[in-house]
This record gives sequence, structure tokens and C-alpha cells, in this order.
Amino acid sequence: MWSPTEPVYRIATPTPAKAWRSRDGRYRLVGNRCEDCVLPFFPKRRVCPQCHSRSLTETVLAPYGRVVSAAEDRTPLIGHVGRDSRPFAIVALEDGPCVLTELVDVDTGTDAGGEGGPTTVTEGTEVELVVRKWRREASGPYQYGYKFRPRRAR
Amino acid sequence: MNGTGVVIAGAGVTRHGFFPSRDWKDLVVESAYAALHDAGVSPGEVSGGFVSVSLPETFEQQNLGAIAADELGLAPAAFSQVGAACAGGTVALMNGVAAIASGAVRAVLVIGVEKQSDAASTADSMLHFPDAEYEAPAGFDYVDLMALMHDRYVRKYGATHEAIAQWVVQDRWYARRNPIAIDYGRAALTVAEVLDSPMVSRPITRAACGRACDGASAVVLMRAGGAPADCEPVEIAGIAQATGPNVLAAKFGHPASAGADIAEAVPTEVAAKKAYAQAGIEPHHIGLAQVHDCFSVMGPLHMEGLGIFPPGKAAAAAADGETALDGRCPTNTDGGRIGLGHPTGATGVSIAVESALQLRGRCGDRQVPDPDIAVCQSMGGSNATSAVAVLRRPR
Amino acid sequence: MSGTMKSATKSAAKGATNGIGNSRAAVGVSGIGVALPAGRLAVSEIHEVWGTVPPQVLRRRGVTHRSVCDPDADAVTLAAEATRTALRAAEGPAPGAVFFGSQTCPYLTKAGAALLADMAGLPRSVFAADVQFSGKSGTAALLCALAWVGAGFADAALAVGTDTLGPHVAPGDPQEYTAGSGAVAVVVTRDAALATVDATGSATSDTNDGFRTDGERHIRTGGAVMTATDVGLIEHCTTAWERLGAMPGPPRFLAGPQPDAVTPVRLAKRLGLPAECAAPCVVAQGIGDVGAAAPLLGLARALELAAPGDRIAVLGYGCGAGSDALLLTVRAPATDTGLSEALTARRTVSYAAACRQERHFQGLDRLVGSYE
Repeated sequence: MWSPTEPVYRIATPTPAKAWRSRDGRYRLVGNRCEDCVLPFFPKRRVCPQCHSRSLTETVLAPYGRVVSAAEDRTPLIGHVGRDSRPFAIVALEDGPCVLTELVDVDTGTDAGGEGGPTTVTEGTEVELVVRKWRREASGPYQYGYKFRPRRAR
Repeated sequence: MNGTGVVIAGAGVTRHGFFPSRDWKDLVVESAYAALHDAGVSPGEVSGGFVSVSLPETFEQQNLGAIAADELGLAPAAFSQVGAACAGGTVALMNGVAAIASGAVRAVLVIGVEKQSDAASTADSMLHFPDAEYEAPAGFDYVDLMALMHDRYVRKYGATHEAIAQWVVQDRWYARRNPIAIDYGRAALTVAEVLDSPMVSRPITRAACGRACDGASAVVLMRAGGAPADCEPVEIAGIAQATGPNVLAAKFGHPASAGADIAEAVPTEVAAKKAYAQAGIEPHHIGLAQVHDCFSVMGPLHMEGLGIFPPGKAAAAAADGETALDGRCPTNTDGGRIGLGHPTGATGVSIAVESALQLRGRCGDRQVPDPDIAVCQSMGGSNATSAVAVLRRPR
Repeated sequence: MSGTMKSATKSAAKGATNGIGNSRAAVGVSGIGVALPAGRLAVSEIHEVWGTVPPQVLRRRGVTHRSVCDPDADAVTLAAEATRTALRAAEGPAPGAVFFGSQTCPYLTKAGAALLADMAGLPRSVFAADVQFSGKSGTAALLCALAWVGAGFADAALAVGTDTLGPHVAPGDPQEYTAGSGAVAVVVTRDAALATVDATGSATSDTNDGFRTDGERHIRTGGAVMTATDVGLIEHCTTAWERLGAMPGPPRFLAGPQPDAVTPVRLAKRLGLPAECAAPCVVAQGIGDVGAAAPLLGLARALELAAPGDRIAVLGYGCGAGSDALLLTVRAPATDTGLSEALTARRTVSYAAACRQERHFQGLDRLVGSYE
């Protein structure tokens, strides 16, 4: 009989250190900027692809942007299911770089009715960052990161 | 420069599909010995090889070069494993060309293999290819990334979903005439059926997804003029690879993109120009193409990257029949990733096999009339890398 | 913790002895932010499924919907969202201390406060601690922050009350009808741009009216004898209230615990206060009980409605059991708390979807092919 103490073999599982290293980018959009040609980057780069400078300064990007391209995941991966719909988008941040992000709370409104209604996000929709759970890591801890929703803050 | 001086002396390919009882080693041996037989080369003449695989994790095995060499009975030949995601097969071919051109070896086996049916879920097994820090953990698999490309392509160029769906219809048309295709013998599809099939990641429907599956392909490379007299060599006139950012969002505003974003196949364009220059051809010379349509929209994107159609025009051109068997440039005559199937590591080799068979005139009722120059392209990642080979009929 | 807040300045000390009406107190609130999940489940749907509470009792409690925790939200993410709003509104120094008040932190071993500090981008030198005292974790965290700043340990501190009760109450439990989720973050500084805190009081005893032991998923109640009599909420709140000392008159607002939509008014009456001071601060009607966040939600509402000089009393209650009381004097009404947006941005969720979102179904833990 199977017992919960009998391990299920799993190959090549990273330790929590791997995801932990990138938490500032996930929580707060910490990117960086080339000191020589001032191009901003997210995620952080180690070498500027434009001028090959290795002098880059960390910078926290503003948590606001606009939708450039949007789609909707109807077959979410395990750990990402549970919502009625899972819209996502490329968002052009106010500070320049673009991010790929899930969109949340897009099917809400003062009198939003049924579930899974059509998403109201289109090209140009203003969005803001919220931190949500991305998934539970293979090694156990929760991995949190940015998602975006229609902008409330002014 | 004109040509690489290297020929495909022999080609072999397995049936594509789901084979629970066959191991990756079975597929490697079948395809490699088919290629050797086709070339008329004895195993002992092979002194090197490259094995392309994208998901060795599903084999629970690495160092596949050495293992394949021994399985083939070719040890101590110099074999190594090549990885470039779904472009790995074409990159392995490029390595093989370089090995022959260097003069170090006389005959090289280039093998691509995949056992996607061993993976619990394709979306999950391929999850090591989207960005490991910001895409995969946020729950974005390939179909999601390509859904954004599809959306962007439609928004940016005004392409219609119907025209893009027509690409799937065409893949099925070829595949049902290709005995090794996963969709061999299946009924024809309609645009409505493609658009009405279940949504995987809007706007991509299930029918518009490449069919990840098992399969292997192999070619024997030799120096031009050095191949056995009774084989039918096909010249590799040019071959090149290029890269771009793997993080999807980083394609916007990237210095190497020159204003392009996710609606253009920038690495394909760069690699194609290099390969065409080496072959001494122009896009209008191309009468046959195999492109990386892992999802329907990627077919038009890469046709534009190859310069066969102008930006934003390929979907409509294909829908108008320009890539059909009697069109200007028949494309994905093996059925493509959607109709033939997509054993990811093998795909870059199988497109070379299909091109070689077409140039030799061996493709039965999907045979393109009298092709002279064939181009084949494979993509790794979400346009993170692309490799392009130009094949020419023996002159 | 009880007694009046000690002023750091001699000149304010005289007024601080009873705390009342002192607008120059040393410490108070300079920013407040609210976060609620958008999902709303009708109480009538829970009744249809379980029928464990008579409809007339449900009507009496005045809660028509409860908020439903999103599948990707927990006490930490709600706290982070509320904190972002609070810090945006507050001017002044960055918080040097974080008090994370919750009874439903996703981690049993690991600080929610540390996660929150990182998510808020606070400097590494910050002090952080989790405050776990059931429904009064939020007011307890606030008192800790006030004490911390009042003692001069930091110029500013962050206190958060955050809970996700829906995932932590068993389906069919009478508490399920009101088990909401939400968070409120409060920035405490010496400047106290919004309101000063003039007096505080607390009460604590070992009372088994609600608990969850280590390793258990669901919060249990001590049954009607504990919850329907006065031994818990009323007695503890009364004791804490009395510690605030004599007042010249009733405060303009009373932000009380909101296990339902009627308790604050009932409590006000028991304290001899008019119902009108409690009713405007009640937000439970459409979101249910948001645990540690509930009294602070009332505070956010009161701060929005208040005029300078108004006094606001806050009463928190947590089973187990204890109560905290605070008396504030308003300096400026709050804007941009996010409360009205959080209350209006909502999405109807069915009972089945709520069970899925809050993980009450045994979920598939294997991979399935998602495309061929």
C-alpha cells in the first residue's frame, strides 16, 4: 500500500535559492539601466546589448504601463488554474521596457455579472502592478511575482 | 562565396507519431541506418556525428552523442549532443557541415530525435525553453507566447484569423499525402474547423498547434564529389544561424531588432541573408520552403523572415494558394509541424530530409514539380534562435 | 498593552495623560491602504448548498455576500497590495518596522512580515515581526507599530491586518457564510498626517471561542455557548474600551470588529454609544468577515468620512481571546485608501467556483497534457 512517507522520485529539482535570487524583479520590477547609453532593461541585464557596457545601475521601474498585445490562456499549466479565465499580455511599462504578465481583475466592474465574461482589456488599456502568487516551487516555497490589473491608482 | 562544398549523401526518417513501445534509441537506429543505406555508405566509414535533442530530460539521459554512437555500433566515432531548442536539428546540420568542410572527417551522421510521448505534458516538458525566471514560473508555456505573437501579428499587419487558419488547412493537405506524417490519410480540414476547434490560448486553437510527437531523422553528410557514385547527393548551398532575445517582452525595443518586435522573425531574417549569400541566391529563386510552423501564425512569420513574402503579407499569400503545391513557392510539403508532427529535436533534420527528397523528385503525390532550390528553416525558443539551410539539386 | 500613549515631547505630556482631544500627540496614522479580492459569493448560495444556518439568522446578520480569495492570492499578497496603496498615500520616512498581523499567513514557519518588507521594497535594516492573534492581529500589529514609533525605535512603522478566512473555514461551517478575505495596511509616523492616536487599551484572557491547532487547516469555533454569549467579544471589547478613559462625549465614529454587519452597532449600544457612530464604518455587508483587516477597514472608512478634529474609536476583537481599543483624533481626512475601488471592483463567483478558488476541492496534482 502506498504511504505518504514513500518518496516520489523527481529529477533535477532546483533548491529555493534559484527562484529566490530573482525576487526583486518579481516583486517590484527591479530592472537596470546602462550607465553609458541610458537604455533601461527588464529583466536586469549583465551587459548592455547596445553598447556592450557592463556598467549598469539597478533601478525600480514604475509599476504602471499599457497593454500592447493580449491573449487568453484557456489551458493553464498546473498551479495556474482556478480562475475562470487567464488573460495575459505584453505590457509596455511607463519607464520603457516591456513585460509579459498575467492580467487579473479584468472581468470586474461595479455591476459585473456572470463569470468568465469577456475581458475588457484592449491595446492601450492602462494597467498597474499587483503582487500575486505565481506558483509553488518544486522545492516547496511559494513563488510570488507581478501580475497586472486595470489601473486604479492615479 | 558559393556553397559549402558539403552534400547530403543519404537521408532517413521514421514515421512520426506516438510510439509508447519504442525507445529513443530505436528511433535513432532506424533513421540513421536508413540514411546510411540511402547514401550507400557503410557504418565503418562514419567517423563523426551530431545528435540533436531538445528534451533529454524525458529520456532521463544526457550525453546522447556517445550513447547514440555506441547504440549505432559506431564507437569510437566522435559524436556529440547538440541543443538549440527546436532549431537543434538544423544547428546540428550546420555543425556537420563545418566538420566535413574542415576536412577532419569524411562522413558525418546528423541525427535528430525526440520522444515527446514520454513527457507527461508537452506544455510542461517544453517549459525549460521560455525564460526560467520571468516566463515559465509565471505560467507561460509556448502556446501562450505564440498566442501573443499571433495577436500582435494580426493587430500590426491586419492579417485575418481566417488566412492564418488556412495555413493549417494547407498543412493537412500535404500531411495526408505524406506516409510518415502523423496526419497521414486523415480527412481534409476546413478553415471553420480550425477556428472552431477548442481554444488553447486565444487566439490559438487546438488545431493550430504543432503536434509534438515522437520521431527521428538522419542525414549522412560528405564532401561534394566524395559521396558514393551511385547515391543522389543534394548540395547544401548555404547554412546559417542567428539569435535574438529569448525573453518575449525583451524583443520590444531591443537594439538588434530595429523596430521589429514579436510580429517579425528577426533571427530568421538574419540567418536567411547569410545563408542566401553563401548559396549565391535571392529569395525569388526559392521554389520550395520548409518553415517552422509550430503554431499556425509562425508559418507566415518565418516566410516573411525568409524574404519570400513582404512583412505582413504571407498569411494572405498562403491563403491565396501561393504556398500550395501548384503555387509560387510550395511550403511545408511534408505537412509541417502541424500535419507531419513536431518531434522537436528532430524537426531541424526532418526538414532537410523532406527538402532532399523533394529535390530528388521522390515525394509521390505531394511532389513539387521540378524544384531546383529549397530552403528549410527551424526556430528554437520564441524566435530566440533560427537556422536556415539552402539546399540545391545536383547540377 | 494598555493605558494612554506617552507623548515624546514634554509640552504634549499634559494632554496625553488622558489623551482626549490632544492634537499634538507624538504618534499616529499617516497613510492607510485597503485591498480586497474581487470575487463575491452570495450567502444565499452557501445556504442552498449547506442549509446549516436558518435564512432568518442570515438575514439578521446583514451580510449578503462574502469576498472570495483568488487562487493566486493569500494573506501576504493582499497585504502587499494594501501596503502599496498605503505607502503611496503616506509622505515621510520609509517604515523602519513591519508588523504583519494575520491568523492565516501562508507560512507557519517563515515570517510573512519579511516577505511583505521585500515586496514593499523596504531597506534591509527594517525590523519585522508577525503578529498572530486571530481577528485582532490587525489592531495588535497597529499597537505594536505605535509603540515602536512612540518609543523612538523608528520614525515610521507599517502595520498590516490581513486575512483569508474563506480558505481556512470548513465548507458547511456556520462561519463559512461570512468567511471573507482582505487586508488593510497602516503607516504609523510621528507626523501623524491623518490622525493622532491619543489613547489605547487592551484586554486579554484565555477563552476558547475559536482556534486552529498546528497542522489543522480549518478554524473552529467554540460553539454557541462561547460565541453567542458575552464571554468573548462583548466582555473583552468592553474592558479594552474602558481603558481608554473618560471622554467628553461619544466619538464621531466607532470602527469595531465585523464578524457580521450588525455586531459593531450592537457593540456600540452596549458601550452606551449611539448607533450612528458605528453604522457608517460597517463594510461587512458585501464582503463578510475579513478577520484581522475588519476593524482597520472601519478605520479606513471613518478616516475618509471624517473632518479634522473628529474622534474615531477603533475596537478589534480576536477569539482566543482579546480586544484592542484605540482612540484617534483626525487631522485630515484620508483620500486614496483604495477602499471604494476595492468595494466596487467585484465579480460574482458561484459556490463551486469559490470552492475551486479557495482550494476546498482535492485538486489535480498531476500534469495533464495541455496541447498536443
